[in-house]
Amino acid sequence: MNILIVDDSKAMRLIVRRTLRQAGYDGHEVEEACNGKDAMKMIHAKTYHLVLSDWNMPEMSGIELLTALRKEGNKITFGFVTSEGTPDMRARANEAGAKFLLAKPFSADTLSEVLRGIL
Amino acid sequence: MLINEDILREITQIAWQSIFGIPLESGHAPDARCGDDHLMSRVDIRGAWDGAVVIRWTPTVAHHAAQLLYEREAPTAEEVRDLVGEIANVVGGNLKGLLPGPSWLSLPVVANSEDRDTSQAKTVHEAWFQCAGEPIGVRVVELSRGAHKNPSSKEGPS
Repeated sequence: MNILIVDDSKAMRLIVRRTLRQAGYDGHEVEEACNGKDAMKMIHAKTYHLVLSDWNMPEMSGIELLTALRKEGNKITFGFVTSEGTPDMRARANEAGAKFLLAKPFSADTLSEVLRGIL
Repeated sequence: MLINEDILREITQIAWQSIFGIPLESGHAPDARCGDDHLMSRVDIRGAWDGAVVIRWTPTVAHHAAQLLYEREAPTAEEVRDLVGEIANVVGGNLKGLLPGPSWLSLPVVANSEDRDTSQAKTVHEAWFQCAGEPIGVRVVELSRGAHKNPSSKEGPS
């Protein structure tokens, strides 16, 4: 499966990639985008099965990316990996069509739990 | 305010442990406040409460942290700045969830010196740590409503 990690922080992209590996998902192809706009271009050019996206990014935020994808009929599995996990943000994520919202910091076990049944 | 120094300490230590896989030891404020040679990473929380999380790093400890993450002897300056900014983002995001809402979080900003609006702001809570013998200071400051220098999130409050 193809996984796209979207985060403006290179450090966090590395952490998400590393945690995927630790959670046992190392057999998948993982690529990276540094904001929603770049992610959108990549999704238009290639099929991804899962997007793991930060919320707060320059150029295009994670929620803007998800909204744009759903608007064009793209039903790709989408999860947020963000430093904020307020009930309001979880509700907004859910309403926009996200499968989950994982708050940073997170462990391999937590990631594994949310990805069970998805990958 | 629903946070205190213990919570600030705990959030920072959990974030550190998760990112680096090693504990972050508590420490004490240095006698001279790191002098001029330091990095500051900061995120603002705006809304029902206006403030910022400001993390003070010596260049040595910031570089050491990036070496740990990237498992490389010589991380680039950009990698170092990105990492310290992201740590402020994680700590700020977690604190935001404990504060009264609605509120929103800015993107992280990293600078070689502290902005006037945070250096002169009232410190609400402060916690010090040490890594590789160097201090790391995490402060929560209260900002005035008019101080909007830090580029904020495009997002609305949550």
